[in-house]
This record gives sequence, C-alpha cells and structure tokens, in this order.
Amino acid sequence: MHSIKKILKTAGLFLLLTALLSTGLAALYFRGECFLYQDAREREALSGSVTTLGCGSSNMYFGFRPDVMDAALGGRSYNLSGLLVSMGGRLELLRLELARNPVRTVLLEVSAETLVRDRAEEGPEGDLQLLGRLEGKERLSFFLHNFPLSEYPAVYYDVVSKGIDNALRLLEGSYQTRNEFLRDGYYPNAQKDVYISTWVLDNYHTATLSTAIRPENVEALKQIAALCREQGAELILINTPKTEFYDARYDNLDYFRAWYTGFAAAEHIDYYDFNLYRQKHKLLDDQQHFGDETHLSDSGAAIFTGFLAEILSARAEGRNLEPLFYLDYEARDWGVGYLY
Amino acid sequence: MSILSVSFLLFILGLCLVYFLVPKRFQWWVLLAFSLGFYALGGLLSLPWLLLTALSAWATARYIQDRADAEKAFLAAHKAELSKEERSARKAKGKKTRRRALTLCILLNVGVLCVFKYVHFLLAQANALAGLFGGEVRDSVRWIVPLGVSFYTFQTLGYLCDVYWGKAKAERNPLKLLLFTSFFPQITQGPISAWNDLSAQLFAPHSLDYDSFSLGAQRLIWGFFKKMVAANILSGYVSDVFANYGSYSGLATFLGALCYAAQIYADFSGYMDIMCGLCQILGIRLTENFERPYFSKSVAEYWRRWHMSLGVWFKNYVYYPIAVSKWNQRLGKWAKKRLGKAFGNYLPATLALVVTWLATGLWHGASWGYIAWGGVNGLFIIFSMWMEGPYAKWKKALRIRESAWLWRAFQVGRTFLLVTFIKVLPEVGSLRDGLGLWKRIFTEHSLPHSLSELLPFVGDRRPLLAVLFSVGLMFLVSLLQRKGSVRALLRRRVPYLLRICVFVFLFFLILYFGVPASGGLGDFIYAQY
Repeated sequence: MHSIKKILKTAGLFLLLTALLSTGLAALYFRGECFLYQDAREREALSGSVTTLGCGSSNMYFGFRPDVMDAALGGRSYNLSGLLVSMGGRLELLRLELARNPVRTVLLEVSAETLVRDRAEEGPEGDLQLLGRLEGKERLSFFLHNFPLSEYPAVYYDVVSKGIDNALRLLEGSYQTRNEFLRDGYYPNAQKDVYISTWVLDNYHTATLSTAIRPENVEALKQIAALCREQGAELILINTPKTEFYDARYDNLDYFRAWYTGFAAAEHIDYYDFNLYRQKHKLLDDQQHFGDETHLSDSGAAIFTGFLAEILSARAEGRNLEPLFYLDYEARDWGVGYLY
Repeated sequence: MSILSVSFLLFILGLCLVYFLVPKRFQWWVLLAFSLGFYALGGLLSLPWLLLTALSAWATARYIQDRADAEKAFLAAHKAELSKEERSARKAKGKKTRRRALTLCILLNVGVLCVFKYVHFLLAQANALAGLFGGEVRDSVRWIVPLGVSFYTFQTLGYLCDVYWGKAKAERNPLKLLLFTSFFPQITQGPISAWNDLSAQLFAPHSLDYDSFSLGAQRLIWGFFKKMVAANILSGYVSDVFANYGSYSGLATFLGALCYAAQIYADFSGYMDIMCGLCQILGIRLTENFERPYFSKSVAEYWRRWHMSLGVWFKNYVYYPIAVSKWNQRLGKWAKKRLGKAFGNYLPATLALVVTWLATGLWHGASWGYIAWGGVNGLFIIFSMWMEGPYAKWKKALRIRESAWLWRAFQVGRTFLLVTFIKVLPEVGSLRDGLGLWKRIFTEHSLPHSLSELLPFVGDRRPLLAVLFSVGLMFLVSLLQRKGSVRALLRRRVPYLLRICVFVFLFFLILYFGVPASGGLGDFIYAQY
C-alpha cells in the first residue's frame, strides 16, 4: 500500500507539473499572434466596421486583397479565409464576425475541393489552425464540437509545440501579440517559378477530380446561406481563378459548376466561377500571377480582386453579367497551341 | 502497433493496470493475452507461424525430456543388470533419437525462417546465375515476413538446445512456452533471452513496487527520448547521405557515417530502454543488450557489449558447438602436427568464428552487404586473435601501459572508427554502394563551402539543436554509466522534486523535437531483422 501511495504521488506530481507547464505554453500560443493565421485580436479591433467579408480556404486566403476591394468599392473589407478551412470552419468564423459587424456582402469561396473535402482523410490541420484563430468560449465550443477523442493527442501536441515556439520567441524578444504577416486577413503569396511549362493542350482532360461530395460540407454551406439571410448580408459564391493548366487538366469541373449553379438557384443567391471569366487568361498569366497551380500570387491577387470588384460594381448597377462568362468549361476557348 | 504511438502508451497502461489488479497466479496469463494481442495487431497472418514455432518447440522439447527421463529411470532401475557396454549403447541410441528429434525441429524452424527471409535473395542469385545462360528466374513471391521471426526463432531454438543438453527442463504447459516465444517487449527486436533467465521472471508473481515503477518509468522516458529525438532526427540526414553519397563530399559522407553510428545506437538501445523500462515496471528483468558499446577497446569487446544477447546466442549455439566438435578438434590436432603449434591452436576457433560471423551477417539481412559485413567483423576478430602474441611483444617493446588513459582513449577511438566503417557497409544499399561510400570517404577531399553543405539540417535550428543536445546527453550518460546506474545516481544526488522536473523536461523535449522527427512515426531499424 505504501508503494501504491508513493507511485500515485510521483505520477500525480509528474502529471501536475506537465499540466501546469502545458497550460502556460498553451496560453503563450493563444495569447500571442505569432503564427501567420492568427488574427483574433486584429478582428476584434475591427469589430463593428467590416462591411465585406471574403471567406474561404487557401485559394481565397492568397487571392482576395481587401485593400484593392476597398479602393474600388469603398467600405471596409476583411479576408476571413484560412488554409484548409472546412465549410464547417467557415460557418464558425462567419457566425462570429456577422454577429459583430455590419456586413453587407459575404464572398464565399467555393471550389471543387470544398465539397469533397473529407476531414477524416485530410486530418485536423485546418481545424487546428482555426482553433488558434478563435478565442475564449468560441474556441472551447469549436474544440468540443469538431475534434473527436482520437485527435486530442494531435491537438495537445499542436498547442504545446507552438507554445514552446512562442516561449523561444519570448526569450529571443520576437514574441508578438499582433499579427504582422496578414493585411486585413490577406496573406501575400510569393510568385514562384511554377512548374507549368508545357502545352495546356497536352494535358487537356488528363485528370479527374473526385465527385464524392460530403454531406457535412453541403449542410454547412446551407447553414452559411441561412446565417447570411438571417443577418441581412448578401451571400455570393465565387470560385477563384486557378491556372489555365489546372482548368484544362481536369475533365469534370463542369460537374461542380453545375452543382453550385443549382445550389445558388435554389438558395436565390449568385454564383460566379472566375475560371469561366472570358478575360481571365488575358489578365492572369500562369507563370507571372500564381504561386503554384491553384494559388494566386500577390500580383495575381491584386488583378483578381480588381476584376472581382468590377463585377460586383456592374452587378450592383444591374448590368447583365452573363456575356462576361463562358457558359461552362466545355464552352471555353482554350486557344490552339497555348504555350507558356 | 507502432511503439511510438499513443495507442501503444494506452496499451501498456492497460497492461500495467490489469497485470497488477489480477491475482498474482494469473499474471502470466495477462502477459500472454497482451502479447498475442500485440502480435495479432501487427498482422493476423503472422500468428500461425508463431504458433507453429512455439508448438513444435514445446512438443520436441517434451519428447526429448521424456526420452531422457525414461532413459535415466531405466538405467537406474537396471543398473545391476546392464553391463557398461550395454549402458553406453543404450545411452548412444537414446541420444541419437533425441538428436534426430532436435534436428527435425531445428530444420523445420530454420526452414520457415529461411523461406520467409531468404527466398527473395536466393531467387535473385538464381536469376543472376540463369542470366549467364540467357535464362530468367522470376521472383513472384509476395508473402509477408512474420513479425520478429528472426528473434523468436532463435530464442526458441536456444530453448530446444538447452533442453537437449540438459541445461533446462522442458516446460509442460504449452501456453507458458507460447508466452516465452511471443513475449511482446522482445519479439520485434529482442533481446534473445535464455529460457532459464526469462521463464523465472515471467512466471514468478510480481507486486507493484515503487522502486521498480520509478526506475522503469524513468528508463521508458529515456528510451523514447533516444529513439524519437536522436535517432529519428538523424535518420533523415543519414538516409539522405547514404542515398546520394556520390553528390556529397568525403567529409560530409564521413560525418554521415558517424551520424549513422549515433543513430543506430540511439535507435536500438532506445528501443531496449523502452522495453526494459516497461518490464521493470512489471517487475520483470529483461536481458540487457548494451553495455556502453562505443567505449570498447577492440572489435571483439565491442561485440560483447553491443546486441549482447545475440552475441551470447551465437557463442552458445553456433560458436562453441563448432569449436569443440570432434571433427574440428581433430583438424586442430592434425594442423598442429603438420603446420605448427600456433596454427593448430588457432584453427578450430578460426573456423568456428568464420561460420559464426557469416551466419551473424546472414541473420541481420539477406544480402551480400550483410554477408560481407559479417565477414569483415569476423576478419577483424580473427586477425586480433592471431596477432595477440606479436601485439604483446610490440607493446612491451614500446613500453605501452595498458592502463594509461591515452592508450585506452586511442583504443576506444580506433575501435569506434572501425565498427563505424564496418556498420555502414550493408546500410547504403548494395555491397557495391557500401564499398562506393568507403571509397568516397577516402578519395573525395573537397571541402564543403558552408556548414549547411556539410550538415543539411543546420539551416533549421530546431533539429540541429536537438541532435547536438541529445547526442551530447547520450555521451554524458554513457560516461556516467561507467560508475553505475545513472538513475541510481540521480536518486542519490538529485532531490525528489527536481528529479521529477528532469523527466518532465525530457517529456517536453520528446514532444517538441521528437514528434515532428517521427512524423511517419519512424520505424525501428532493428524491426526489419
């Protein structure tokens, strides 16, 4: 019995010290905004002023520039996107921001991958980042609702290791409580030498995207539509521009276009696929305006946000936008021998 | 089930709870259930082969024991009636029968081992041979090698030989032998224990004891630190250097070889620390496999301190039987007469060493690289044995004192470099690659332009820090171990609370450095054997 008491005491002390240290490290992580996706304090500071929200995953995170949008249309925009953010995560962020801002327009980025994104297969990375972006009871609620027990070790590791990173930053004097990577939630992506150096037509329809649409994504999308209606914000679905190479490679992009078109019609909202924008390949060059196959670079984001603003402006004026877009991917004019 | 997973931690937590909660007489049943569960989780298809080995060994050992007992009883009962010749004839007949049973069982189990482990190698050699005559032998074999087959086969064969030689009593309960064969802490990477050592531990009742718990838990954490922080971070660098040695400078390649020496030690001894620590918590003392091997003063000594249980196994069941066999002794006598006393004295041992080391090489892996590795190790040991006399004379002439620290440091450094060079031979890829890496080290003399060219991970501060700290700590611990157990030293010198803090600190180091380095939850190198 004496041994058991000593064992319990030692194990208890070990666990207590570990828990105390873990709590301290977690606080360092959550309180600091040292990771490029953390913007809770910045969003809180803007609370009550944001009129336009761009929300999506990495395509929007690297693609939507609030400064360009505000310069074109006025108002106050914010990019609420994040890497690998699921539709459920977008709903969570929108719920928070719509409640505390006079938002008139929500530009929700939707791509082919958005619908088929499978959390079990993809892992918790997107939700882990979101956990670092939320605060207080929202964080706790999001954690309890989105992480199964089997992912608790991954959450613990993520929080503690980032806490240690911040502790090291604290020692070095580079710890900060304000995010200096983001510009109103937008992250400028570097232009890279994209490996696309081949004939688009050589790769035309050589790949197929999965069409296994996950019901939880559809359900979250419906809830976002309902939330926007309830908060009096107009929801617009947009598919951000990808490289021509990407558009040409996949043979079933029309499947998703048709799905979103049907959804938008049912919800009485608008859907714009900017890969079908007739001027796209003249405005955006695969080599110059992208960081990789699907993500815009900083200069590409400026161009895209510019013509997005033009479309929104024309739409507000009640002009017919249909002639500006191809009807579908089949109807696209790829040009012959489009060489990069 | 990966040892580096939360599932494994929960598994051992569950084992400890059940083990100490059940009545003591059922404790070995708990070990058996958890061992079979662990094995089945690794792949159900492997289980029949494990059962075959355990059951064949149990039945054969029982048969040998029963025959030996019956013979003894008969001879005792008919002592007066039988002449000396009749008794000898009866003994010889009985021995022949028992040997036949032993041989059959060995052939069966070694056959299973060879079929699983060497079939691809043999087919590749057959294909190369057939290629000379324009033919082709296709390797369409697609079976999965049973987990730990090399370890449990050797352990069971050791038991059989011990029963045959009368060193151990055959176990009556087949389930107890099954536990001996399948005991999960040692099934994937050893140690290869002797029946008399392990059975006494496995079937004895054990109580929850603070000292065992505390020291075992400390060793467990230390093992995870070595494996996850030192071994797994180094493995990325080492794999890169070994795979692309042609594009690295000789110096970087040499550094890669040194890192490999640190990696394999951290990997293998880390696993042993985890398993020995776990067993210590359960009150079971597992055979030790390492005794500060890199502080050895000769290659022979190194092999007495590295993977000790394998060395002991080969010594007991391969080396000695060959060295003392009648034909070998006759050969020695013949050589003494014809080729001189010294030659005749060394010949039996030399032959036994050649067979032992080639077999050791083959046991480690089915490739010419491993055979060469075994051969080179054997050559060094044989060479040292033959040169013992001249060495002694030279040392005397040069007035070298064996106990002088400089001489000892030279011996340790020389042995470390030698074993490091031998170690890398089979690890680069083919034997040609291994030799190519040696050549690179000695013939490519360009100096790297930057530190990051020399050490690719130097650009990222985190892994470099981790490698320096963990290797430094392992070295320090090895130095301290010269005077005894470091955990005992900690207990004597470090206050209770501070001691806990030390292990909390290690835990966070594992979490911060080790988890990302074990992204794929890096496999243990020795699990492949």
